[in-house]
Amino acid sequence: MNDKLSAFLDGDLDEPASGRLLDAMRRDPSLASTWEAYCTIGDAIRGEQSGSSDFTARVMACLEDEPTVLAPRALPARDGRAAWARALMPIAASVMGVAVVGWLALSQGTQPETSVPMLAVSPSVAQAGGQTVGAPARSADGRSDGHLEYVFVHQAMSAGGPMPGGVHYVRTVSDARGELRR
Amino acid sequence: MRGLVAALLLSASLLPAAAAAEAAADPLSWLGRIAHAGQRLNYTGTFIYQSGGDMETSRIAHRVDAGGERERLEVLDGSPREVIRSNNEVYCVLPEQKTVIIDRASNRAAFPSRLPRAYGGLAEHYEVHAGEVSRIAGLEAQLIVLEPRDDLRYGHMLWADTQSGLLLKARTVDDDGGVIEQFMFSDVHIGGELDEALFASRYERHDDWKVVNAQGNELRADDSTWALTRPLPGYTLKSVVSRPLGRERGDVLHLVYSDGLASISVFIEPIDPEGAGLGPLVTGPINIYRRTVGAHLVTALGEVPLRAVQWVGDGMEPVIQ
Repeated sequence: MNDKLSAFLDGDLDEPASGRLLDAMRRDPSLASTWEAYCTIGDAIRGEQSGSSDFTARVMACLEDEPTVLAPRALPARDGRAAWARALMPIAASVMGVAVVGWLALSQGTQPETSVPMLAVSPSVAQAGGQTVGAPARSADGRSDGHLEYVFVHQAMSAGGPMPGGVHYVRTVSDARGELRR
Repeated sequence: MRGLVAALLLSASLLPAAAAAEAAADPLSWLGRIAHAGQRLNYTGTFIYQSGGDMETSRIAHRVDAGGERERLEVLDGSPREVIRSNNEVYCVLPEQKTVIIDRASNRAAFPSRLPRAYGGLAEHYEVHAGEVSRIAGLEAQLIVLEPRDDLRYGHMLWADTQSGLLLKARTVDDDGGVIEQFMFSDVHIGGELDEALFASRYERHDDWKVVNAQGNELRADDSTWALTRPLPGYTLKSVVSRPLGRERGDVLHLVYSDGLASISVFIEPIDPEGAGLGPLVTGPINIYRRTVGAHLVTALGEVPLRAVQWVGDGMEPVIQ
């Protein structure tokens, strides 16, 4: 089935087969999720020269906006356009649920924030926007601190100081980063 | 200018090993040599990463050929984790969390990340001198020390292979001399052909995995909607990136300030009513400082002293247009 998804993404699937695939996606959330993953990482894996990225972009654009014609460019425009739109919209919802969580998905979605005790703060901190300062919240396992993505993109952009190549990414994945503390 | 720097770096890398003796005369050239070696050499090795009281062992493989740079880092202790890099694409694979974080630089050539930088400017903010030659992972290593000239950055001790220039050990220290973090090869093999299999992910991704796309859109500095009202001495704005947060949540603006070695990231995003705690936090060597400005959450972080991230966090204001 993943082959069909791939063919669909590439615009190589004919319309009846596409319709069957879309139906299958509606019935099978895991298939829709796979489709989402194809969309999200398709560009990165296939490379920019792939014709699929444009389609992916149009899928995403369409999902954001009103239902419009949505077909791989390779497919000839035929009477089935409305059917395409109808077929895609239910999927749009399920795809959207995952596809645009964006880079902060972990910290926004899966980090149960425990209640934070109020702590004594230094004057300079207290003056910062007049905010109270709480202890950092962290989830039970102590390392899913919700700052992983921040740290990751920071490393990606900053070259990590003197460390060679990708060594600095160890900061992102290291348990030795330890728990958040004040 | 870049061409000149590149030429200087190239000539530095071609210096014979005997040049180690001249390190004391020109410790700054070693920084370029270290950066160049880290990008241009094939190497595999095992290194120990230490932060605070915790230690962790990782394995790394790095290869450069006509196709560019490939790299794979795998943490050997605790939960399995790996980072795979192929030129500008970085995959951070967290099997236990069923998560892959992906970043892909679209237009990063303009930024100093992963490029040899103009290390000459570092002398303004760090006193750079050569230390002793010692032995690390069986190799002869030259120590280069960077002492910060103020309290807005940490000090660094770098040990580089006298033959190849590869960084064998690095220690970040605070102004009390305390170790913030340390990285050290326990075993390293430099040069030779490296098999493709060394760079493949060991983990199969399934449908229920979460893919977090960290890719953003590079903006011109002039287009930034936020700015630092009081400049942080020695740090300049290096990049502005906008990253989507998700539907109806707007974008997060990501600014990077750097002094050429240390970097501070600032993230500005629409405030989340159920947001995390504010104020200063620490995670490993990274200090984090959060505050709210109107309807926005400002998060500043970096491998710098807390006062530096706090300076940046407190100084961020919207640009009046």
